[in-house]
Amino acid sequence: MEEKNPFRNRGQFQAEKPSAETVGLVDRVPVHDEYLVGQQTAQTAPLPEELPSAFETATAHARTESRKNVTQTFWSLVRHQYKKNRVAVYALYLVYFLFAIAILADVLANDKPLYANYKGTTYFPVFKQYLADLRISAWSSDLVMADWKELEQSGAVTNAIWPPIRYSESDEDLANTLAAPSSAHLLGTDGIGRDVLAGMIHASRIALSIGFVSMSFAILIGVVLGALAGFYGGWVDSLISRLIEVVLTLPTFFLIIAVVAMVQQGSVWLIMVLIGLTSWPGIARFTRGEFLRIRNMEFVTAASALGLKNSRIIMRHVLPNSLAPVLITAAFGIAGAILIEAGLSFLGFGVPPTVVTWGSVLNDARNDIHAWWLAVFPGFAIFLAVVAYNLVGDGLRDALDPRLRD
Amino acid sequence: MNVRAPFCGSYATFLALFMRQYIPSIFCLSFLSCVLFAGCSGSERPISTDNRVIEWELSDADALNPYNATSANALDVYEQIFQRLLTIDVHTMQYTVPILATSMPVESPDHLQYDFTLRKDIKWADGTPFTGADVIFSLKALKNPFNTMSAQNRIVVDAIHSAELIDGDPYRVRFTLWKPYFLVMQATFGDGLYILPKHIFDPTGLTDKYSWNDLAALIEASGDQPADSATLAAHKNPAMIEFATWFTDAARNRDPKYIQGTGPYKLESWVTGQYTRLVRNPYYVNHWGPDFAANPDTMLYKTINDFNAAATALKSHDVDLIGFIQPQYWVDIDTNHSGLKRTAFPLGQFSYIGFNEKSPIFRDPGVRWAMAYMVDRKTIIDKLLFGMARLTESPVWSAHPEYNGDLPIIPYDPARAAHILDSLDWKDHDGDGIRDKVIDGKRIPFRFTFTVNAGNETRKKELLIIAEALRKIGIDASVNTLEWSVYLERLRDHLLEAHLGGWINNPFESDEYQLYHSSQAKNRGSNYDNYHNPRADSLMVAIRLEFDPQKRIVMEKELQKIFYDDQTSLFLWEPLNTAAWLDRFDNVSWNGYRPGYDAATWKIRGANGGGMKATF
Repeated sequence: MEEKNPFRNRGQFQAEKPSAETVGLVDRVPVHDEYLVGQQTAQTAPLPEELPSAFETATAHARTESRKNVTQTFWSLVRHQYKKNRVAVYALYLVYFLFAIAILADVLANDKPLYANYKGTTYFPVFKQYLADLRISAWSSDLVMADWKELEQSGAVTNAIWPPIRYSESDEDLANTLAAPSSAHLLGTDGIGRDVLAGMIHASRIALSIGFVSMSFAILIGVVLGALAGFYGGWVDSLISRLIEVVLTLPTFFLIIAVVAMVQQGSVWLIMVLIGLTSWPGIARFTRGEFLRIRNMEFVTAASALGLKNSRIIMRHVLPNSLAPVLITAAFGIAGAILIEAGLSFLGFGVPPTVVTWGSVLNDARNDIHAWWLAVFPGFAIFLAVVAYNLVGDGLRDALDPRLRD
Repeated sequence: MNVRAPFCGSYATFLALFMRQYIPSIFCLSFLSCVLFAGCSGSERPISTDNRVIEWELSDADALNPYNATSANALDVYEQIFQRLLTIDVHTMQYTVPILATSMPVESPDHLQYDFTLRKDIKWADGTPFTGADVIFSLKALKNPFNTMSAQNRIVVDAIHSAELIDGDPYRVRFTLWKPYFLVMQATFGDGLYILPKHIFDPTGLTDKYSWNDLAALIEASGDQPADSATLAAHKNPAMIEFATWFTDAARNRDPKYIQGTGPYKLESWVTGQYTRLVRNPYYVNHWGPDFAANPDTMLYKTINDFNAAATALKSHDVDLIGFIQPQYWVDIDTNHSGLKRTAFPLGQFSYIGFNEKSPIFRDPGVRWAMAYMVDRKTIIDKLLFGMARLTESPVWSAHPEYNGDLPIIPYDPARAAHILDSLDWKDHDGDGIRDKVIDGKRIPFRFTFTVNAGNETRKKELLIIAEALRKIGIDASVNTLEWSVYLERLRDHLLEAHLGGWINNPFESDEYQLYHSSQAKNRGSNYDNYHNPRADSLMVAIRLEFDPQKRIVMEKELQKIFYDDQTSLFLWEPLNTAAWLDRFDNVSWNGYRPGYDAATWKIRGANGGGMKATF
């Protein structure tokens, strides 16, 4: 059973081959990416060819296994395991889908057309706006504050191709405030006539970036502190472990509310940083645990026997082998961060009023109780995103667990 | 060790584990609870006949000592506890009802002396008779400059020099003024100068140890304005300081032992964040007619610090009366079936957007005019206030004779606004979609922030509508919310670039000095936007010294025209006060004197006499 543990095999392989030293963290990052983004990259190619020699040190059973699957890497094994969990696979598709919406938000919902012909000139207003925002291009004086819908109605603009939703997130249709879902507004409008669907599409950017940015913060802090604690042990470990315990006792949500209340101009970035600063202890604990386990393995001993510096052992030998639990925690953490942000926006803290988030639409529902569409759709979006990330985390955990492997 | 360690780090993990196995049960449970809650809210509850009124308050009073309290919630409560020398007749809105005096005062021709004769049949809530000594004590207590809590309330007695017994008669009091003040009858005797019991608030006679001249010395030293801290430090009067310390102590602001007056009720208990409870004053006798009756045994002020929750509490009969319910809940009330009633009436408020004239953008009145053309007030009133407001172009209450109704209402006209901005060279010179202009050698983009108090969703939405309209003509306006006390602090420091606010006008003739005189732009005064116009300044001073009402009206109208031409503030509308109550009262009446009602005069239908205690 132990011998089947890919961690061990990988570890021994690295320790025995001096060339493993060159297979550093930089090389291995694309392997992670390959799993996450689904792209095969050139750097991953040398590894499989070297695998058989690694398996030679393992049992005979493992040897036969490795011959059957010559191209197997650790992550391809994980992917294989992950795919067995159908729910988790669909959840991953859902995450991809949310990302697609977030990236394409401006193309999906905008008050400018994608393509238009104005006075004989062809424009791509949505894309031109990007260039104008980047100061690469500028609008001519007659178009800079133009209302494209009016221009089309007056006949000045022809052949316009519009995004599926003809409203931006801040665009107000004051004639139709609190309108129920209809063909004009697929998911209805809020109290000041903003299209709920347009708002939710643009808000998906905030929801997803909150999750990723805050978890990046948390991983950065958690991995560094956890690695130091686990690798060095002793008083460093005691100190960091106590720090972890202290931060774990903080009531995260109320701490964030208190800080946000003190800061006079709230922003999405502040929320991201605050969530990151309070959610690292879990990651630090797992990293520390993994480090404690791995630092006593033979390949680490071998590496120190070869006279490598501690920093090199940590970065190139121990850290890459201890990232799996961090990944799982991060997937759950993203879901948690999305929930925290939705909760803050619902309570009216955090993001400025001009920014639409799923939680702020929910908050509007609180003021206009009949407007069920203000509660149901963003509520469902939050539910979907949180469940998707949780299921992905769940699937990852199962896929990474050697004991569940058949 | 392996990776399947328990995931204690995140509750989301727990949620996921939980959900995977129990999704069907979650759905069943939520469905069940929906049905249950729907059942609860739909059920008809019998209407209580308890002889008590439960009024809703958004937050606790800051204090119940009328000199130390500044919040409107406090006013609702202490109005039932303390009385004044005279008060307003809510039917005529004139200050013509003597309360603690037998008649209106005798005024000297130079408007510098006012002689009151006091009632001999009034007793404090502990049975001690009321005398002129209490009146003199009250004025001395309020004028004590070492009491920083009462600075705001002290303004109404700034014009008064002293109060003395006439020929030693304990029931005749003479007030002497420094200089004439045309609102002394309304603002001072009829409004701010509540009479407090001397034997309770000053048992050791500390106020006897400082004289009117001691007080005058402090005021003279700093001229017309209230004394500043340096002057106070130089005049160490031990008795005055000792009294101020004693008077501002928490006990004097909220202890039932101290909070008792000559009014119909006395404080029984105050549980912070929950309720304030008043019971009848056993020594109160109504000499003044039905407008001063005390029908309920108990007046209970329940604190629910959320508008939405308050509306729900009313619907579930947990409160009897909401003096101000937000329009979106007000329009929601089904008066046919819910056992609720509602009304809307003017109460002298006005809303405005202030643009700080220290800001280089808003220094120019032309820009403020362009802003005025950019606010679609009709749509906002329709959509957000549900029609519960009236357009205005003036800070004066439109019900008053001095209101200038000749000022044309400024329409929503983005083209006109854009034209004005273009003519002032506020154009988009750099093609980034935002107007800009070179001011004092620097290119300034037209970018600013509106600030509003957090929690007021209606105001926030109003600003979002305006900001979106501005965005379309190339002005980048963002909206920021600040917690109420922080918002007030920033306003008083004159630091907000643009803000949406409101004022409640007094029921008496308007005096714009507090809001728009240039002297009030300093020292944390109420001229929040640093408005400054020498002509307006001199008019505001002249109005305060003019005793001919007709001449004052002419001057007041001219002043409003100046405000209009300058667009001093972007005056928006006068909102109606929307109120709702549980239909268990007779004799319900509403008036224009804040808070717009006196629930003590209402009669509880079916109440079986007095003596019945509310069970709360």
